[in-house]
Amino acid sequence: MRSVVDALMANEWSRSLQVNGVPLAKVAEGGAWLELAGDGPFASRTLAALAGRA
Amino acid sequence: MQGARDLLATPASERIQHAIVGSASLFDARRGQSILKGVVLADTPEEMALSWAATVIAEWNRDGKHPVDITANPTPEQRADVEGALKTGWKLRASAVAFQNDWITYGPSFTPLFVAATNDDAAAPLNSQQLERNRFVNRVLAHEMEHVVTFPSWSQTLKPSLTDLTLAQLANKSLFAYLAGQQPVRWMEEGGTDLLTVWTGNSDRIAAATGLRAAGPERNNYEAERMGMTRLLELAGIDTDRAVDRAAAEELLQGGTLEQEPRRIAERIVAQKKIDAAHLDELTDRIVRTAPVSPYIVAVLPKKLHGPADALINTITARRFDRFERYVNALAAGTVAEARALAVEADRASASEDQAFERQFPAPRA
Repeated sequence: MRSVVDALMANEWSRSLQVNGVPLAKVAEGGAWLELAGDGPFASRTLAALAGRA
Repeated sequence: MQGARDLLATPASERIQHAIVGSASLFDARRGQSILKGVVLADTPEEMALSWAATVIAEWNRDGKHPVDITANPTPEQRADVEGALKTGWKLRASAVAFQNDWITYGPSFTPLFVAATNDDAAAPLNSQQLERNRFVNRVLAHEMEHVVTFPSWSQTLKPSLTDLTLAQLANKSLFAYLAGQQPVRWMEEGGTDLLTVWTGNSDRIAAATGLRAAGPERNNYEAERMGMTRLLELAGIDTDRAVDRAAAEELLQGGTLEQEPRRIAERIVAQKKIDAAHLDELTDRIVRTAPVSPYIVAVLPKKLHGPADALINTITARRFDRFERYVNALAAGTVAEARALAVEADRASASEDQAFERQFPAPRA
C-alpha cells in the first residue's frame, strides 16, 4: 500500500493533488507506515518502517 | 506535537513494536491466517484520507478490473479516479479512529495517545489518567486486530461498495443510503468484534500482550451493536458476563465468514431452544433483518447531535431485540403462525422506527 503513495509522490501531476487543501506531497510526509515483516506467527514478526526515520 | 514518524527515532520505538506485534499475536493461536501486512499511524485526517485512497488504488490495480496508471501519464479518467479516491477517503475516513483492510490505519484521535502510552516510564506506577488512556489504546488495538486478523471476509464484504462509491456514485447517492446499505453485515462485525474485545477478563490478556498497563475494559461506543450481539448470544446460550464463555463466542462469531454468521448463530439458537430445524432459514433471515439503526449514520451528523442520536438508536435496538426474542420464543413454543405474525409486525415496526429516526436526525446528503 505504501508503494502506491511512493508512486504518487514520484509524479508531478499527483504530487500536486490536494486533500482538504493540503498538497499531497506534504500529506505523504506524515504518519508512520510500519510493515509487519516476516512470515509465520505474529509473535515472531518485526515492524519495518517503510517511511519515517526509524 | 511530535509526529508518528519522529517517534520511531526515539527509545519508544521498541515499545511501539511490542504493542503492535503483541496485539496481533493475540490471534496467533486462533487462526494462523491473516491478511494483515502492516499498520499506519496517522497524525492528521489528511493522512487518513491518503491511506484509504492508497488502499483503494492498490485494490483496483491488484484485481485488474480498474487499473490506474500511477507511475506514468494517466488518462484524464484515471487521474479523476485518484482524485475521487482521495475525496472519498476524506469524506468517509478522515475522522475515523481507525479503519482496516490488509493494513490497519490508526487515526489522529488514537496515534498521540498510543505514542504517549509507549512513552510511559515502564517502572513507575501509572496514574488514573494514564490507566484510562491505556484502556482506550488497548481496546482500539485489539478491536482493529479482531477485524483483520481473524477472517478476512469483513473487508472483502465491504470493499465492492466502497469501490463503486468511489468510481461514480458518490455524487448521485446519499451518504445515508450508502451507510444504511452496509448495515446488515456491518453491525454484526462491529458488535462481535467489540464484544469479544471487551469481554470480561479479556482486558488483562490484551494488556499483557501489548505491554501497556490498563484499568479494565473500556466500553464506550458500539453500544447498540454490542447490545444486539449480546441478545443474540444469550438466546444461543452464551453468557457474555462469563469469562469462560468467550471461547464459544469467539468460535461462533469468528469461526467462519461474516456472510455466514447469521446462519451459524441461528443454528446455535435452534439447538439451544430446541426449535424445529425446519425453521432454520427463516430464523436466519430474521437475524439478518433485526439490525440496529445504522450507528455509522451518526458519524455524518453534526457533533452536537451524536449523543441524542446514539440514545435513540440504543432505545430502538432494545425494542428490536425484544421483538426478536418474542419471535424466537414463539418458534420454540411451536406456535409458528404466531411467530410469523410477530415477524411481520417486527418488520413494520422497524420500518416505522427507521423513518422516525431519519425525520429526527436527517443526514446531510453527499
